[in-house]
Amino acid sequence: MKKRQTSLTSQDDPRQILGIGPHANDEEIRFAYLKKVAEHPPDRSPTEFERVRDAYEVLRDPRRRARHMLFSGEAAPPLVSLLDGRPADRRFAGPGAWLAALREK
Amino acid sequence: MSKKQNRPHLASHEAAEIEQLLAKGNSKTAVDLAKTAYKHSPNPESERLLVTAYAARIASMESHGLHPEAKALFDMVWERYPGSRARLAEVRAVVAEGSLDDLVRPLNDPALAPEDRSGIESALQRSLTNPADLANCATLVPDHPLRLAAAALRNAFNAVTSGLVEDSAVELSEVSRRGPLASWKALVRAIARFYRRDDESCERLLQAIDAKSPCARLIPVLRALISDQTPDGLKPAASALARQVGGSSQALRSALERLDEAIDEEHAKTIVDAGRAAMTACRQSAPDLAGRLQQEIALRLIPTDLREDQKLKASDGPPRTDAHYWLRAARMLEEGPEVMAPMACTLWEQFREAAIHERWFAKNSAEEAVVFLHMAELLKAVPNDALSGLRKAFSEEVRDYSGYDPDLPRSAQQAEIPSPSHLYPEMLYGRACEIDPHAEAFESWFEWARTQPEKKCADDVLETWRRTLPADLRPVLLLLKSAEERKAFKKALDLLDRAEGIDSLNPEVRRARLRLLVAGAMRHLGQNKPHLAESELQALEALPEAKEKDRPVFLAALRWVSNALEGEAESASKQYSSLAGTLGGDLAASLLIAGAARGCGISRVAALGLPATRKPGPSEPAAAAVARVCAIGDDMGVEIEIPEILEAQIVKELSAGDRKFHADQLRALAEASLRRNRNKLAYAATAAGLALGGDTDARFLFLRARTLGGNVSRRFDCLAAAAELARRQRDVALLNRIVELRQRDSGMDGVNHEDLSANAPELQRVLAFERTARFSTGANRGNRRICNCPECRARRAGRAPDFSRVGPDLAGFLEELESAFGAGQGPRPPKQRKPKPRPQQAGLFDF
Repeated sequence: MKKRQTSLTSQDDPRQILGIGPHANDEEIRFAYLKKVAEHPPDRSPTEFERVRDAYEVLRDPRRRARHMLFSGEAAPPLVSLLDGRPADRRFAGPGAWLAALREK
Repeated sequence: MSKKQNRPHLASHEAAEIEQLLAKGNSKTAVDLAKTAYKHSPNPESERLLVTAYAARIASMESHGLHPEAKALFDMVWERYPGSRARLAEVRAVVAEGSLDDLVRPLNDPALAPEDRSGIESALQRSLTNPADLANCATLVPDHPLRLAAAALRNAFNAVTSGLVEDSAVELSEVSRRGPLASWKALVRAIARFYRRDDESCERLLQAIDAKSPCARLIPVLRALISDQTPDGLKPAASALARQVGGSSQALRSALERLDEAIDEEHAKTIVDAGRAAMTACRQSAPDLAGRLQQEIALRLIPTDLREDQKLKASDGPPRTDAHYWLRAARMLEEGPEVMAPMACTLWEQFREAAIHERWFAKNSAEEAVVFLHMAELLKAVPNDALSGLRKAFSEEVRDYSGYDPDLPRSAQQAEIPSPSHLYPEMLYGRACEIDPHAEAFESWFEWARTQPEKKCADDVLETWRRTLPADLRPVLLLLKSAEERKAFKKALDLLDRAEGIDSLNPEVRRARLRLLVAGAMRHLGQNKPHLAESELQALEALPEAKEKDRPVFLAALRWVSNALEGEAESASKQYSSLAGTLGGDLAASLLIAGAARGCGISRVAALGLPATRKPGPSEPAAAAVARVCAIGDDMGVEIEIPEILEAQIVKELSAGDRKFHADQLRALAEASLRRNRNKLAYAATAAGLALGGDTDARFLFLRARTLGGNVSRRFDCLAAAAELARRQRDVALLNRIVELRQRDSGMDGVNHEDLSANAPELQRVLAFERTARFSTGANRGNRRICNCPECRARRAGRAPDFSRVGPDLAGFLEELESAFGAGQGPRPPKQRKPKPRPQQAGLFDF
C-alpha cells in the first residue's frame, strides 16, 4: 500500500495546528487532536482535517516528535523568516481610538 | 367679488408637478408652487401637499447645514399647520438631531404617535456615535429601555476594546435586534470576535450593520485589519486606529531583509547598523520577538569577521543562551565541514542539558534518546585517533568555550562546558539504546562498532542488542555469522537454536542450519573423524532444505568422502556410481567429489581412492557437467576447481551455441573461472549467458566487465549497462557490487550508482556488441559507446554536474594512459605455474 504523503510543509508547526503548547503530554496531545477533528471533520473541512491528522501523526510518536522538534526547518534560515506564519498584531487600543473613528464623517 | 376665486380642489397637474419637483429634490420651487396652490385652493389636500413640500425643504436645509434656518421654518410650519403635524414627524427628528436631548425627549411620552417614535428612532440610528451619550442622556427617564440598552452597549464596547471577553459579556439581551441600537450590538460583537481571531464570525456580524449607521464607518478598517493589509483610503482617525491596533510589521520585515543582505555582503559597519535598526523595529512592533531575534543575529554573526563588540552592537546586547540558542548553534555548526563534528556534538550536549532544565523534554525520554543517537551519528565520521586526541584535550585543557570556540558570543563562552563523555560514541549509543531500545538504534550502534579495531566491539553490541530485544532476530543472525567466521560452530549452533525459537520459518534461519551442518560435517571429515561427521550427515539428510536443488548430490559427495575415509570402498564405489548416474557422467561426479574433499581441507583427493577418470571425448559435453557442478559448489559455499585441460573444450562447447544452459550454472561457472583469473573461460560463460537474454543480462554484463581486465572503456560500458538494468530490476545487491567494483577501478570513494547509467540506445548498443564480441585481450579502441565525462554522467542521472565530488575524469585519464603505454593490458593477473607433468598419468585430479 502506498504511504500517503504528509500535507505538512517544513514551515508548519504541528503544535500550532493542534493548538497546544510546547510541553503538552501525550494525553493533552490526543485530546487536542480529537477536539480539532470535531471542529474540522473530514466531510466538511477535508484539507484542514488532513493537516490536523498529519500534525497528530508527528506528535503522537515520541521519536518523530523529537526529530521534528530538533531537525525541522533550515539550520540557518534568513532572519526575515522569523515573521513567517506569525499572525498580525491585534492590540487593544481602548475605546477612545474606536470612537474617534466612529465620529469621523 | 375677488378676482381670484377659490377653487374647491387642487388641479391634478399642479399636484403632479409639485410631487415631481420633490422627487427631483427641488424643494424650494416645490414649496413656492405649493404655497401658490394652497393660496388659490386652501383645502386639506393642498395643505397636505404644502406641508410635505415644507418638510422636504426643512430636510434639505438641514442636510446643507442650515440648522437654525431649518429649525425656524419647522417651528413656523408646526405652529401654522397643526392639522398636518404628522407629516412633520420625521423632519422633526432631523431638526432635533443636533441635540440628542431634543431628539429623544418626546420618547418619554408613552402616547407618542408611532410614526413620531419611528422617526426619532430612525434619526437615532443614523446619528448616534457613542452609546455613552444616550446612556447618560438625562432627558430620558433612567429606566427607559433605550437608555438601559445604551448603558449595556457602553460597558460592552469599553470591554471589547480593552481586552478579550467571553460571549456572555456581549450577550446584550437589553438591545433589541430590530431597535435603533441593533447596529451597535452587531459592532460590539464583531469587535469581540475580531480580537478572538474568529474572523469568519466577525465578517458575518459586519454584514449585519446598517450602512446608514455610524457603526458602518468601522467596517473598512476592521476588514483591513482582518486581512492584514495596509489600509488605503481610510480617513485620518480610522488610519490611526488601524495603526494602533494592527501595528506595523512591514517596517520590521524590511529591516530584517536589509540585515540579511548586510550579513551576506559581510560588511561590518552595514551589519552593525542594520542589526541595530532591526532590533529597534522589533522592539516597537513585535517586542515578544526581540529576545529570539537577538539570538538569531548573534548566531548568524558567529562565522563572520566582526569583532566581539561589533557583534554585541549588532544584536543590541548579549543573546540569551538557552536551549533554543544551543540547538540553533549546534545545527548551524553541523552544516559545516566534518572536522567541526566534535564541536557540534558538544553544542548538542549543551542543548540536551538546557532542554531538560527548561522542560522541553524529560530526562530518559525518547526525545533525549534521539539527541544521544544524533550525537553518536555525528561522531561516526570522525577518525578514532582524532577523537581520542580531542577527548584528551577536553579532559585536560578545555575549561570553557573561550579556549574551545572563541567565535561564540562571550555570554556563550562563559557557559560551563560539558564533561567529555559526550565525545564517546559507545557511551552515546549505549545511553540511546538504554533509554529507548529499538532495532534502528542498535543497528546504528552495530554499524559503528564494526568499524572499530577491536573485533569484540561489534559482538558486544550484538549481545547487548540480543539481551535487550530478545524477540529481535537480527542480532542473533549476526552473532551466528560472527561465530561461523570464527569457526565456533558449537556457539553458532546454540545461536541457531535461539534463532529458530524466534522465527523458524525465516529463510536465513533455515539456510543457516544447512550451512552450519555442512560446515560441521566438513570440518570433522577434514579432521579425519568421519564418525563425528556421521551425526551431521544424518541430520543433513533429514533436513528439508537439504533436499532442495542439487543439494542431495552434494551430500552424496560428502558421503563418498566419509566412506573413503572409513575405508569402506564398496560403499564409496556405490556412492560414486550413484553420483555419476545423477550428474550424467564420471567427470561431474569426480569434479564434485574433489571440490567437496577440498572443502573439507583434504588436499590429496586421489589418495582417497577417487576413481581415475579419463578426459571426456569431444562428443561428451563437459560444459554442462562442469557448469552444474560449479552451481552446486556455489550453493554449498565450496570452491570447484576446473581442470585447465578442459578449458578449451568447455569454451568451444559454450561458444557453439547449440545447447541451452541454465543461467545459474553459467553464472557459477563464470565466478569459478574468475576466481582463478581464467578470463577466457569466464568470457565464454558470460557469452552463453548473454545469449539467454531476459532478466539475467544485468548479472552477465557485470561478469563480462570483470573478464575485461585492463580494457577500461569497455569495462565501464558493461558496468554502466549492468547498473542501469539492475536499477530497473531493483536488484540492490547487484548494484552495490557494481559500485564497489567501479570504486576499485577508479580508486575513488563516493562513487554511487547514479554515476553509472545508460540510456536506452546506449544499453541496446552495449548488449548488441557484447553478445557478439569475441574474446580479446586488446582494447577495443573506437568502440566507446557511453561518454564517461562528469557532464554526461550527471545528465544521465538527471542532475547538474557536480565536479567537486566527481573530480577529474579518471576513466578518461586512464584511456589516455592506455593509448600512451599500450592497450588493454591493465594489471596482469599473476602467472599461474603449470604443474609439471607426472611420469604416470593418474587422472584429471592429481594436484
